[in-house]
Amino acid sequence: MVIALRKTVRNALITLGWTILIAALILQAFYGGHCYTPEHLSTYGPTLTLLDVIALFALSVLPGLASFDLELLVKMYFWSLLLSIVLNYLCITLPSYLGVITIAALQQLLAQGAIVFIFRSMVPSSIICLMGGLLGAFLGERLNLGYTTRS
Amino acid sequence: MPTKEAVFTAIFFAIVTVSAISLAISTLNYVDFYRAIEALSLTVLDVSPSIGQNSAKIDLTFAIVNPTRYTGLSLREFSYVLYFDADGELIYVCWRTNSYREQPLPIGPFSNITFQNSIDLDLSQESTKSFIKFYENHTESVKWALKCNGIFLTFIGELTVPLNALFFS
Repeated sequence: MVIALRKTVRNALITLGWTILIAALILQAFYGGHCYTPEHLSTYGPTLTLLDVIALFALSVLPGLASFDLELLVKMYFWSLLLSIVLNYLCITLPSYLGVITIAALQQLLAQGAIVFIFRSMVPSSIICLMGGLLGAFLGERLNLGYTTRS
Repeated sequence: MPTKEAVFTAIFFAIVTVSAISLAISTLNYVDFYRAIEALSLTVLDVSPSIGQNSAKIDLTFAIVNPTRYTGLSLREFSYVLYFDADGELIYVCWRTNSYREQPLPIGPFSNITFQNSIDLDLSQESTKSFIKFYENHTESVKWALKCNGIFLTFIGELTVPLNALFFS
């Protein structure tokens, strides 16, 4: 019972950690402004750069290494993705919640901008994160980190 | 001796902790961006006209102030128009543009950028003549108005912020 509880807490922490990694990378790209280059804005609107995508892939290998079950990894991936969308949205629209932006039209503009940015960022990120996680799980197996499948 | 599993888990959580801290700091700075845009202000520190027989010059000292803790603003261009108040009527004196397109000037948190401009007035201009006439009669109490547009480089691109200030000399 204690071992099962420890595993659940550990898995929850890994999911939360993965969420933070995805959200932090996407939001740093947003705050840093490099996703707002004139070429991106004029052609596609704000989105992630190739470097962001590579970093996202590399960081997603770690949760794969830390989780030792393929089914569990996929579950954690979906939860992380969902939670990171929520976290991204909350962070981008935080000025509205804190009362820093009081004009309703600007609040609406920020919310719409957040949805567009998150959607655009998540389209490549979701696939990249899964690939990174799967590579991590594969490496975990090769390095004998205790990886097992439930087949 | 720690197992490989423990080592990888520790590395993972160390990276997560660093990311979480950096995310929190960046998010707080991002919130301050909106405060900074609203709170940016212009302060005229000194206006010293020197009027001679064949020349008229105004030495203008002013500052753009960022009273917030936001980091990430840079000034790219700054255009201003100087007026003087002639008994309630604003009379145009001159305009200038300071451009820093090649090397934008960063404005740090709780700091300012001070400018010292020396403006030579064209004596043939009607506005200069009316200014000199007014100034000679009111040398001790001239009310100046500085209206400007600052183009700032921000994380969302260029942003034009109107800034105005009054000064009594």
